[in-house]
Amino acid sequence: MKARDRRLAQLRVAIPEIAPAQALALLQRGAVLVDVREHGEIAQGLADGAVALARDSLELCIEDLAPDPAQPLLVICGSGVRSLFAAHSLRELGYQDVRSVAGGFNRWKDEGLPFHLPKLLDADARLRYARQIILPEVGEAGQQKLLDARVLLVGAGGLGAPAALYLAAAGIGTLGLVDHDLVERSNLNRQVIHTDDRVGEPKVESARRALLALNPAVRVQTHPVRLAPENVEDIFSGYDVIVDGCDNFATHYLANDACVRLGLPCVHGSIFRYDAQISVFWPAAPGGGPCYRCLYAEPPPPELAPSCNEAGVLGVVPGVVGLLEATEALKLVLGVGRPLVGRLLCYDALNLSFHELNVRPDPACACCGAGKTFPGYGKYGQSCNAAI
Amino acid sequence: MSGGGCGACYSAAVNARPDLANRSVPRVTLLIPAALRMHCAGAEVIALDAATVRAALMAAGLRHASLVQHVLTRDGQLRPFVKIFVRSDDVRDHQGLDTPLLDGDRVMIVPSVAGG
Repeated sequence: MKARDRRLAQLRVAIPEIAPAQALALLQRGAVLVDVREHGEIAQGLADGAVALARDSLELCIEDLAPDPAQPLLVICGSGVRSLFAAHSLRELGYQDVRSVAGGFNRWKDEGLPFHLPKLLDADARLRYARQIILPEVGEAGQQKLLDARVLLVGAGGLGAPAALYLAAAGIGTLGLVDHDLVERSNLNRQVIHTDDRVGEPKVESARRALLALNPAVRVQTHPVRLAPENVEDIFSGYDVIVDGCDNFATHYLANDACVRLGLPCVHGSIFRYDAQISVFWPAAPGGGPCYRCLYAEPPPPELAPSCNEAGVLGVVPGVVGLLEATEALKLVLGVGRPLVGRLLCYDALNLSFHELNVRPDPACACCGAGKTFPGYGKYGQSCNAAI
Repeated sequence: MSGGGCGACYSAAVNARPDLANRSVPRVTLLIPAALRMHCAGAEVIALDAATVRAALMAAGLRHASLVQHVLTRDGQLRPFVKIFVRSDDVRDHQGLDTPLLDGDRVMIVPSVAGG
């Protein structure tokens, strides 16, 4: 008898084997089904409810999946051989209830048990996003969420530029850019997505070139228009998350109102000199949340608005804020962490201080208050419309 | 949503500091945002004695009238594009401008800003 066969005979005595149908029943009762086949094999099909964890990373990653050693584990491979070796390793790690699925995925499929063809990352994506895929909160499943996500940046300026670059780098599958402006040389101290040789080009085109140079896999959709009540829903309805990096009150309120109406999260950022405010306005969030009008019911009239023309900006400040917005957008897509819903983060760059303030939904809010019907978009005015 | 004070909790906090009852008026700090500093000679903070948020604003207004004009309407209401926070809470969630202050409180004026 070959050494391999001798070892398998020993494992078959030591490791309980179960039929695929029994495995399905245990899975439905809370057991974890771990598929240890290689990436290319998984692409041919994965049992419904199974988690793909390749044999070569099984011992390193299993505790992220099953931190309790008493958790029942079911191991499946192609034909039921490798799963015996894998199950034995899990036993040695301390898992007490480990079983191998006899006949593996081939038998699972032959018996008509439920499976699906999973979306899998290609080799380029697995390499490009390797450093974030190894984060337990991301993994291949999280990366797939990012690739499937559609994020719209309102404004390709001081806030939108850094946000767009990092969202593209992270692999957001579809990035939208809405901005009607042209690149000006005075933008370049902060709008790092644009370059000197693209002064005079539409910002969305300049940004699109930068994003595709960074990550050609991203689908970039440009909207070279001024956001208005007439087009906002058509544009927003194609996205999952809105990142508001605009530079004027009228657009902040319009973006908010459209997000409330469409149930979308609006990642808000705004700055004045060295001060900034960041939040996620999302009344439709699980557990609810305020909208921008719950915080500020109305924009200031022009005579009381901060004077943008005299303000000035040090480029790093919108850089920091844009990246905070990008972070919130990624968290929302991944469904990890605690999004900045119901909280306003105030950043003071000169003193390097952050204050977190509680913002509750306003029951009397004209836009999202309980029992209120959407009042329509109305007129938004142009209080302080200058870019800082 | 993150936790924060409610009106009852805030009253409880006040009642838990009987030492303050002996002090006639709490010493508090008004934090001035960059957008409004031009109305108070560039000051980032203003220290003053005030028992309520309204009293703090009125005291600041004695020194810097235009600052308060940007925060309150002529009839003394908070403008809809300005928020005031005490202990991280919007005073709207307590007693509005009549929210009582404790010794050492920081009163943050947070106006809307729009730059990007």
